[in-house]
Amino acid sequence: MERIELDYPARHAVPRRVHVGVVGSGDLEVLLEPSPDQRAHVLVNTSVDGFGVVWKSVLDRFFERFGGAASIEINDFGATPGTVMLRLEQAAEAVRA
Amino acid sequence: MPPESSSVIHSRTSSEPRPAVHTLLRLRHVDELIWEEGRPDWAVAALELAPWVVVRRVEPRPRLWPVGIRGGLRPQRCAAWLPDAAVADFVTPEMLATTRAWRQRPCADTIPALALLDEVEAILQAHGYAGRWGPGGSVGFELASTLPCVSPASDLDLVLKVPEPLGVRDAAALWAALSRLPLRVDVLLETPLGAVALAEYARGKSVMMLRTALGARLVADPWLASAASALSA
Repeated sequence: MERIELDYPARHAVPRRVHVGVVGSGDLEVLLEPSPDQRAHVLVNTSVDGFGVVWKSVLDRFFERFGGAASIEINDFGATPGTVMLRLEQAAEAVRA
Repeated sequence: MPPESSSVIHSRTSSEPRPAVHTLLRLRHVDELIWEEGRPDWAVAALELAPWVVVRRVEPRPRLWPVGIRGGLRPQRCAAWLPDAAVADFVTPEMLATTRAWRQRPCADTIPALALLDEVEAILQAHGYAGRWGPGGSVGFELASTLPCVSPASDLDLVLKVPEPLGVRDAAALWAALSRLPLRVDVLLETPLGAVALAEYARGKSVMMLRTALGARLVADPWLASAASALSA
């Protein structure tokens, strides 16, 4: 079990709270809600240790486009980077919907 | 499916279960594996204890099965390819359920993921899924290989074959029944296009994640190819 915390600058507020994904092998859940300040805060709880660099690279790429001032909690159960990005994009889409 | 008429898999009659993702394959010899990124010592050691690998969800290559090797520690997973002719035997999750392989495990009553399988079977039968489900993950691996690897804290991964569309209401009823068990159950619905988590499908939302041989994608209907391509990530 490893815990990773990252912060990003934000360009706009997010309007609501969303929850996507599931607790299950090779999957993850993403809980996204408006952040208390003008920045984005990410907390990753992952069952697989030693992938901090990969997490940072996936999240860097996501926040280049997303730009929302959100607090995001990710509970990961060994998802691949592709699955993580897909769930983040699903959360971004749900928050806009 | 790789064609190879002389192999164990293809010499069986067509009415028997066929290997697919989640199927466990027994190796003839470790040296016949083609490793994707090197050959970790832990993987060779694990295969010496239990010469079983699991079919991964990627496109098969001609006469080669995409397989995963699991070690004793959680992050120990690696990918390889197994020539069709090097498969000594195979077991599908449904075969493990049909034979109630968990009843042969010593100490099963102290491990919830094994002890509750009779109850899981009753739930799936009551909902009309007899013969279409089976255990995957570490439970499937232990039942196929007979190597103890399920711990008292292990979750239970289940695979349910759903060739025809399943109603959200039926899915929600099944998920509610399984959620009442005193352990975490993770069910993958296997459709002809890939797999979707029962927990996610049962929510009845308009978008969900489908795991396919070409990667994960967001879809509206896990049984409809056109929806899958329209929303692919």
